[in-house]
Amino acid sequence: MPDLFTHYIAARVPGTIVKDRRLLVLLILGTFLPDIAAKGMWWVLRCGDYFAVATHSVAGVVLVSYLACLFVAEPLRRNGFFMLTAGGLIHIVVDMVKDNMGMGVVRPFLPFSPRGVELGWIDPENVILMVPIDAALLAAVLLLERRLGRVRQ
Amino acid sequence: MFGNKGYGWKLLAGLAVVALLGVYASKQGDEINPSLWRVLAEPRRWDGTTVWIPEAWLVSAGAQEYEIVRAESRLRVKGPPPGPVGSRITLRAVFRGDAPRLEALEARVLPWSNRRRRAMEIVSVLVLLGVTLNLLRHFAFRPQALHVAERIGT
Repeated sequence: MPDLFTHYIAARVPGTIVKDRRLLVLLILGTFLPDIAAKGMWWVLRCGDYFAVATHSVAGVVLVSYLACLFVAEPLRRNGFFMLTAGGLIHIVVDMVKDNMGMGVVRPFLPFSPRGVELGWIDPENVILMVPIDAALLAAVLLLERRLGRVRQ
Repeated sequence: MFGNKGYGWKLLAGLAVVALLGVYASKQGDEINPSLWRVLAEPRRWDGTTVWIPEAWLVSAGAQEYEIVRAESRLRVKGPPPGPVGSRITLRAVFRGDAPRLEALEARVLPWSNRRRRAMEIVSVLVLLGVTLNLLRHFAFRPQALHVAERIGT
């Protein structure tokens, strides 16, 4: 996974168009969900290597988002589900940029195809170098929101 | 689907489907990228399979061949060594069951220190904590304040 800061920014930037801050939070939580689910399966449930890869597929994202949305209040649940799913799908796209020698850590088409897909733009050992770029993007988003007067205190 | 009716059943069904997808992925994953110990245990079955080894130690090297160790599995690799003996490497290779050995397609040396990865993990934990605290601040501790702010449109 790229660091969660990169995932956060990847959801936060398009999130500027989301007016409801509750939904924005769910979009951001949605982008963390695939890694939270995967790490939970590895570290807490002690699952095998490939058990958790399902969390990094479109079907897995939809299912985990549905489970997560059940913990949201009923009036917000439907929109919350779409936000969580959108966040999860952003996560998958961001994970595709890593270069794992063509093997891919994201298997978007499970259960129809177990093949990994990757764009291979950045060495996984170097994703920390994205942090300054992320910080600049975050500053730009916060400034833009302040300008537009959409920041609620 | 999103209502409270049959809530417990929906939760259980969701968990069951996620678990089934995990089991299926687990089964399929072994076919795509089997572990080193698995290919060594059944060399004929995995002959010709491309494997990706995310991390291994380079323990001996010749001009066109080297040896790697991952966990307790040791294997010869055909190809120029990507670094000196003692390097931590990652590689993609084709497994040949007759010798058995690997034929390297791509290999590179991993950084000696895990410092970058550790820094990344610390940043990740901090971000997760920050977002969670922000969430709690808005939704758990001051829900009324938020609702009032929404009503008056600030």
